[in-house]
Amino acid sequence: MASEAVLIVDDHSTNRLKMAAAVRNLGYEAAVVGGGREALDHLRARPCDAVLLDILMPGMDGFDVLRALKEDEALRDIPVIVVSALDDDTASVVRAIELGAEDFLPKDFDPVILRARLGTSLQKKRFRDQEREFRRLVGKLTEAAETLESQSLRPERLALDDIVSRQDPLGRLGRVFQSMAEEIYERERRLRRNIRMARGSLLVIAVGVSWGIIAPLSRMASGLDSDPLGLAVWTNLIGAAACLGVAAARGRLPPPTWPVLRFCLLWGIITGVLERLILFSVTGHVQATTVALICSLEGFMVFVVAAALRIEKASLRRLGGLLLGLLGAVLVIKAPGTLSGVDEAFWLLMTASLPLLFSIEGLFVAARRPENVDVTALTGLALLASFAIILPVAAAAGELLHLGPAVGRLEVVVLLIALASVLAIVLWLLLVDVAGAVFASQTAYSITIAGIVWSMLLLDERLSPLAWGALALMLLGLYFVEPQASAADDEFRLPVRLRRAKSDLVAQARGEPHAR
Amino acid sequence: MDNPVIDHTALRRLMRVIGDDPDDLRELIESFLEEAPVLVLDIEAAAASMDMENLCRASHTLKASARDFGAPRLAEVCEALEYSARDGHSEPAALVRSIAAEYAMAGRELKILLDLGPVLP
Repeated sequence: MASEAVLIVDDHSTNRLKMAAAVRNLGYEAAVVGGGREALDHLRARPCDAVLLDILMPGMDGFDVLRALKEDEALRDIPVIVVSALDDDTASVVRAIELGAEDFLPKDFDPVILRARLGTSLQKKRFRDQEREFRRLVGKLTEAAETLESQSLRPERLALDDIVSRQDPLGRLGRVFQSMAEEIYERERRLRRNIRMARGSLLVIAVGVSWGIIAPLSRMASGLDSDPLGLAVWTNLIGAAACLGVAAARGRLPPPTWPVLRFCLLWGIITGVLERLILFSVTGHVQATTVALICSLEGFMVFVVAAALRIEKASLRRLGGLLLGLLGAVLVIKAPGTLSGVDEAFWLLMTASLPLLFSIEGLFVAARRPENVDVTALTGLALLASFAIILPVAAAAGELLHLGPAVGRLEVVVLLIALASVLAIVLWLLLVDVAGAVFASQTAYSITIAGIVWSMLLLDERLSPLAWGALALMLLGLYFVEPQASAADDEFRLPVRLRRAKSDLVAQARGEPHAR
Repeated sequence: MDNPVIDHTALRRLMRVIGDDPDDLRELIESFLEEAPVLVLDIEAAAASMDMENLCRASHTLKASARDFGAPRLAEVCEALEYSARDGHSEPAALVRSIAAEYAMAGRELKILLDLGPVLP
């Protein structure tokens, strides 16, 4: 530990020399100044541990110095011993002590007395300093505890280094506190991740199952002599009614502000008009399993766009995945029994426009979805908008589908399509909220697989060996194209509510196909 | 001698205070020999202008130093002048002359000690 420093203030150089020598002889460092003003300047630049102050000085005398010291917050705790040469001048000493001097020393002091008086003052100062430091650190620790309670901060950000490095009880307390905080944080993080994974996994499956059934159902519908426009009118209407009914029942209808309406209108055009019409059209001409396989191209399309825009990195692994996907697509086209006839190319192209539309829809929703609006209500409004757009067109084309009043096969199929698509959309939005867009990208697998399984169940379609090969390649390709889990997973607040952010735009661009 | 010009006991005491280093003591004595004449001049000036406050202070200071450096006779005269000035007596001239004289002697003795090499036997 560096030796303590004593400042000697006296206007006579011989006195200064003498006191400095005496002080150094006791093992302290000594600094000397010749007047009150210099003393204050010196202390402000280089605080000392004690001051030996001559009272009688010209200009600024000892009393002035004392007053100035006690008024300065930075200097007021430095102990001052006044050196009094006045033989019978108790009055001056008393006055000095009243002004804040710690003690007094006669000018012709014995070194033993100097040692005792200096020693006492310095020790008092040491104790005061330690206590202040201690209180400061306790305050810091308390603050850290409050921080952890009120908002979740990662333990390493609590900045307790100067506490935990101490070798005293406070240091030990700090270390225990920190390790407990870290442990709790870790446990919490693992718990949240597990819950997210569990919930997310269920939702991924649910999204896959709901979306996967739509293509086979619409193929059934076309087999029952429905037409795309009429089908679209009905499915949108039923979907809108269901969603808005549920939202109204839960009191979650949003205020019809222009941003909300504009979003629902645009979304409705993409999902309820374009995607639906195309899907209903192509399933009249293309096998449902083929549709499922081609739709999985969305995962690759979004990755290509993102890499081209440099939003995402095109690592070797992901490019390899892309290649596998393309290979799979080629196999799909080449698979016999997919369809026959001259229209082959046209309908395959039309089908391929679906994954493109899905990517656009995904980007759009991620970027523009209004915050704090209930997902069911949003979906309902979008479907309502699509209904309103298609209705006049269908009427003009004379393709209004007449359903009911008897509930036949067609009626059931239409109802199922409407409900399944609503379910798929709403569940997908929930999935993104719960587990993040990166996790949600796993719906690529579940949708593809579920679509094929449903087709095999409902329509008795079978996959040729080539088609199985294509499926395997697509799934493998999707696996390689997927981005790794991000460190953003580790950021959370208590209570958890993973908020969708603009970063989802980026996540979406990384290639997560989603429910329609 | 019962009233020496320089009291070696006092010098020894001073040396003890500052850490028993003869070189430090030499330095101190040299400093005194530089400062004291200035103080004597201050005393003379203050007396001439009848500035009692400064007279009191200067003689007080010289007194203290005189004690430190073992010049009891000088110290005695300084004390007398100090009290006299403090009490408002306005005849400092004689005392001032004494001070000058005593310092002359004390200063000479101290210089001899310095020249003799190690300051204290």
